[in-house]
Amino acid sequence: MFKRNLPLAIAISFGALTLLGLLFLPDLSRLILSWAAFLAAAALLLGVLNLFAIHLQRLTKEGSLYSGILILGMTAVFGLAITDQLSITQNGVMTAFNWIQAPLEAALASLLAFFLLFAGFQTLKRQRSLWTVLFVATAVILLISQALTATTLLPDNVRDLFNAIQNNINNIIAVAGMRGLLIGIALGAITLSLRLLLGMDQPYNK
Amino acid sequence: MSGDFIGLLIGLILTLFIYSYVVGDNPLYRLSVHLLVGVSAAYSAVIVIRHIILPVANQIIQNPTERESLLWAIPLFFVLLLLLKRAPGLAWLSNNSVALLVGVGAAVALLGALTGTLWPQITAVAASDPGYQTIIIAILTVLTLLSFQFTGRFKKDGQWQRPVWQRGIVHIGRATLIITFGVLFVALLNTSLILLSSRLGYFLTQLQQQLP
Repeated sequence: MFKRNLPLAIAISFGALTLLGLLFLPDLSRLILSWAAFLAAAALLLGVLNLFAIHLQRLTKEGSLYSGILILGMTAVFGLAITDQLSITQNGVMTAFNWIQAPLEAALASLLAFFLLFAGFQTLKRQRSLWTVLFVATAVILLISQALTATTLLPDNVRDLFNAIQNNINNIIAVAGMRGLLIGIALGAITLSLRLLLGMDQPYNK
Repeated sequence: MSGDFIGLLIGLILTLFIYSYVVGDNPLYRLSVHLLVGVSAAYSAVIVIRHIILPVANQIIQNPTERESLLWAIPLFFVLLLLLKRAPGLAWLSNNSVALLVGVGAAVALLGALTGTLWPQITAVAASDPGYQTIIIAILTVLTLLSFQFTGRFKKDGQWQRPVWQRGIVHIGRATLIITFGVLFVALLNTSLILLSSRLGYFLTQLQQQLP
């Protein structure tokens, strides 16, 4: 019982103190948020160490090349951080970021175009419902109207027609949909937060 | 060979490894993804150590008897509890540290959702110029929200059914939602296409400048 009630008491009391601080006592909220940030930072470090340990185990036991590459990348960045700290190198970590992480992230993000097109095609192929057709039709109409409004080959009245379609979809339907989504997400977040603060949900006790 | 050119070559090779996924999953793609995971995890750890852990450690070392330093004993205690996650028989103590994070996070999320999303979205509807467009947006917003409502009753055959007044109009809300997803899909597609062309343009320009 104590094992379950102590975390519950900590969650409720720290949640209430944070709320109180955010509403009326800014110094208190600053203190608690700095504690939470420190704790989250420590948790992140433990997570990274755990990742390192798991892949080291895979490398030594299974001889996995991919795990070796992951370990190599991690060790290189940690090594550069130490040499930066000892002033042996300058901006070594930033160089690793600019040479490796930034191009890889940008390449993955740009590859999203292919993934999206493939996913759209697969959706239409596998689930031919009215909603799928509406989704793909919206995307196709918008893409075509974007392309047609950018060209000067079409007569003005045709361009205006496509422009009007595009504007109505973007400025009326999408605004309403996004607003509905955001309000729905906010209501969900409020409900979940209240359940956590009242102790009705206890994810830390699972 | 200058450092910039080496960086450019590494970036180009890794980018090509990632793009090789277009022809299917392959070892070069997996290798570059594992490298990305390793480097980004280590980078985030270094940032956290430099900007959060070290300033606190310096403060405690420099002024160990000050009130601010002594107060850090509380989060340090919770960090110690977190370390017990692997200790047999004592693992439950780490739940207290997670509970602290959940409690603080829930309070921040509650106020954030109220003041950062819900209130601005509702006031944005109220502050819009009165006109047919605003009225249509308001109606479609309500219908979109209604499409998320799953309160109803079970029929005799065990099938779930919405209340009568919702049955037709909820489809309008769902259609609004689907069209919005279509718009978001196109926006994301455009962004990634622009990113793709800018990456290719960047490498071409840089190689033209670097090569004799």
